[in-house]
Amino acid sequence: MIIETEGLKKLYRTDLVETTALDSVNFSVDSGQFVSIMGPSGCGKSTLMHILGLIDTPSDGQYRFLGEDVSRYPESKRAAIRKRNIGFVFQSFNLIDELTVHENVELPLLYAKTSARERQAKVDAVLERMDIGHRRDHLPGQLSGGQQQRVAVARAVVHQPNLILADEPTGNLDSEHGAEVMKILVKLHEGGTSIVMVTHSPDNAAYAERTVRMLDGRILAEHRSGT
Amino acid sequence: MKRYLKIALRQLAREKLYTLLNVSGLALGIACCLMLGLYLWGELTYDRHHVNHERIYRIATEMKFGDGHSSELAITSSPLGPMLAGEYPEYFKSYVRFRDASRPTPVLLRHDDEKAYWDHVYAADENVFDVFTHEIVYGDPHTALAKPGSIAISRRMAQRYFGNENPIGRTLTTDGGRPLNVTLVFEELPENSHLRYNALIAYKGRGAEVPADITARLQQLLNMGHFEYTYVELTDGADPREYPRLSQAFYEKHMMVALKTAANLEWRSWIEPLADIHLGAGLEYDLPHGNRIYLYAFAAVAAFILVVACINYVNLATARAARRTRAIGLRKILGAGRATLIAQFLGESVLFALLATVLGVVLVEVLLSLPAVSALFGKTLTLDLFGRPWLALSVLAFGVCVGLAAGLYPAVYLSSFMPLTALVGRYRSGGLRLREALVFIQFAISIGVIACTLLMSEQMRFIASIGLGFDKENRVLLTLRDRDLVGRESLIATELGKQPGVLGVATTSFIMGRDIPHGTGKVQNNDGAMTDLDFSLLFVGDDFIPVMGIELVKGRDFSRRLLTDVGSTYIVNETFVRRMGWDDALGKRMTLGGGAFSGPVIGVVKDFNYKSLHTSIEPLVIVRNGDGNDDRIVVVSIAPDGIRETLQHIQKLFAQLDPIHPFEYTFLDEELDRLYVSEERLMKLIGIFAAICILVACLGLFGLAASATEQRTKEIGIRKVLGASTLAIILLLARRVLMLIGAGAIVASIVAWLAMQQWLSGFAYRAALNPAYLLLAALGAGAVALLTIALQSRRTARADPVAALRYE
Repeated sequence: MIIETEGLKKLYRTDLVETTALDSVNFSVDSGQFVSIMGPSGCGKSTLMHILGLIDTPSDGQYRFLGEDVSRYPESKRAAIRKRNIGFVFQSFNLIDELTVHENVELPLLYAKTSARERQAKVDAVLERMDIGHRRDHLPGQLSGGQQQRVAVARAVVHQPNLILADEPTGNLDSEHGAEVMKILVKLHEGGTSIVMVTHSPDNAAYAERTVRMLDGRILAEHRSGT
Repeated sequence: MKRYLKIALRQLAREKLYTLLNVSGLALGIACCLMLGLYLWGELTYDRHHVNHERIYRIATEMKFGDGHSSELAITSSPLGPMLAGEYPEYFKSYVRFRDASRPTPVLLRHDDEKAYWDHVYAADENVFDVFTHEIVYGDPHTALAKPGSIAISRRMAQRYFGNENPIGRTLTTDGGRPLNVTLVFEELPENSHLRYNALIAYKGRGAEVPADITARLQQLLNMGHFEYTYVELTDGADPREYPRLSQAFYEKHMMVALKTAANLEWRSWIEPLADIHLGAGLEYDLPHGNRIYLYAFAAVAAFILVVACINYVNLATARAARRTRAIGLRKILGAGRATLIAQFLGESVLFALLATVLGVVLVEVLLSLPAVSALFGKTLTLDLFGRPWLALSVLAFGVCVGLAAGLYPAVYLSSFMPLTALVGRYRSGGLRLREALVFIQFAISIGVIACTLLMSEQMRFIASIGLGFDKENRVLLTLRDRDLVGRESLIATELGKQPGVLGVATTSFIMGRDIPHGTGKVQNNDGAMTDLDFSLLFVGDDFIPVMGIELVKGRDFSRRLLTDVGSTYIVNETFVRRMGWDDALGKRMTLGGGAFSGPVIGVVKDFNYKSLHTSIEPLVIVRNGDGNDDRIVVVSIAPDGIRETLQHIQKLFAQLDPIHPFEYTFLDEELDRLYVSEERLMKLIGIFAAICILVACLGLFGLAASATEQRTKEIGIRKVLGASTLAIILLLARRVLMLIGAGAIVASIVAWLAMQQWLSGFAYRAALNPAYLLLAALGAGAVALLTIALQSRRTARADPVAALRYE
């Protein structure tokens, strides 16, 4: 089990209003599983992803990552787990504009204190795999959306994380480029990486082994492909 | 490392406006600091090139009069040095006296046909080259001034008369025909020497030796009538704190009886370390020296500009955070630690600062090569980084420090973003309070400096307009330089008076604004008893009072026909009358020069300012000159029209009367203006730096306005849709800043007011501080700030509101 949550809650408070983004979510992902999460806007998918990705903390409940209860960890500890184990792919790519393709992909290795030679080799390999090596010295602004997302995926996987969190990875792409990205994710999954993906598209969700539906901060139903 | 450098440089290139504002502001700040730093360094290292400077002291003396008044003098009498050294050989290693031979009038030296006037020519004791450190070009420093009639000259003087050849053994002749044998050539003295001389003559012969006769010795010991400075070198074991005790013992042994009992005077002396003289307290008859207050002012202004520039960096970096928040959050998501990010941002700011340092150095090099800048500082400053590696390193280190100082807060602030901010929600404009506080500081500083400039210029205008009590306009000063000419002074005056355009001619030994001698004497009080008083002494020739436009309020002027008026009748000023408390001044008797002269007061003149307006008017006695052998100053009052023609007539006449000397003249008003040169300079410098200060502050404001406008684009669009005018939008953006400037102005006004009161206390005549100037400074700064914001936000404010809304 790579991910396991129990009674996960997230409340947002302002002076007047309290909003429940997540309400007692019990959710788990086995190692090597590919899970997709579907649901309308504002149902809490993204909040769940942020908590699963250790970039946000739950208001209540438990979150065990690789068996370790991380729900009360401070940022420094979460950062340490994050950079070893998790890769992120975002709808809006979230590449750093002032860095080149190569530099963007290199970042996770840099922060993991990998040696320069090893970095070079790994970045080159992953860029080739994503078929984007010829664009390595370009800035993100000079690339098409599909290319940018391939770079983002490359960055997410370059340090060989156990888990990839993909938040609507095809949302900003046309169907052709979207399909390309999905193919890459499937390939990674076949290689043994766990993937959690948020999507609006039933077609994309179909690539996953499991699909979870959310509404108003709760998990409504679960559907396993093939069953 | 290389990687971060690359990224930082790319960052600089990407945000051009931001880079430009920051780097130019910092460069200006650094350039100002460098220049003022060089200036300060020069001022603070005066006389340190003398190897023994820590053991060399100058003797200063004080005369205390029975009525409680006292004079602190930089000069001493001639025998003091030799007598002290003779009596305390274990304490004093040696003494060196410098007697100014070129005051009040310069020395004329000739060689063959070459003749020139020289200032700063002293008679000095022969060990001067052993005690003080000189760079010798030719000659033996140990024996150079051993024989009477020897002269040691500077390289410049040697070049003037002898070109590049070795002049040892050649002769220079004085105006009186005395031959001087050149025995030594020394390199030009460093600019930061308080005593700079062009030539030293052997101090030998009459007046140099201590008289054996007790009465003569005492008389000389009390005679301060020469511009003579005495320096002593202490022995290795001597404690300078011991000096007052020795001085007191010396006083009691030699002088007390004569002074205290006979004249109700007290004498005291102390020693000033050589290196402290330049910035020491102002003593009477001192050489031109620096002013600590002005140095503090310069240092403060330089620091202010740098602070303002650093604040720009902090403000722009934090204001711009909105743009970088996503990248920072992403880096954190990808595992960047806070320390890594802080290092990255600090690296960026150091790079900024180093870039600015390089620009600043270039700027300084360019500026210092301009004659106008040298004139402004009153001395030549050189950076010479290649010749002074330690300076280059210090400048570099300074740049790094500026970078760290400016970058620290932004680095800590920017690295504090949580990773989630990269993904959700809009960036909340944090750090706003701090930015506002910093803008407040910037403008408080700028307004303060500007207010000080305005108040200072008001004082200088006041000084210029103040009634001096005599006419300084259109008074030409000529000098009669030898005995023969002085002997014919009445004839010369008469001839000059006949020239067209000449309104009046007078002769005098001393003139306002130059050093006027001090005297003591016995003066009859209302009860008829003789009391002691000290006063200034002005020796004048014919017609001085009417030609100078001095008002005679009582009695009569000296008469040409009464020989008895020479030396034995006196005219005093009103302050003198007040000090004595006289009911009727006329006929009161006084005795001068230890009994040599004595006679009645025949007239009283209205007070006039015969010294600079830093000092108030003291009791003054005007004495009629005899046919002395001193140089004479001729004051020619000329008509305001046709000055050039009049001067030509005078020159033609002088060429006939005195074919030997080159014709030289000055205007009295110009000479008097020179008394306030340091104030004028301070005012100009501070004025310029005030302008730079506000410029740098506005650079920052421009950047802030840019980021504020960017963040508020949507709000502006909505307001425009609802009907707000362009002006209303600009005011909306500027309102906070104007409030901050207002608050800054209040604080700045208080500080400026207090500082200027302090500065004014150095003047005897003070302009009333006018609060309108404080208001003017605040309004000026506010207007410039408003203009800056308007320039920046005008486009957004004018733009089509729909475009602004679409921005979201």
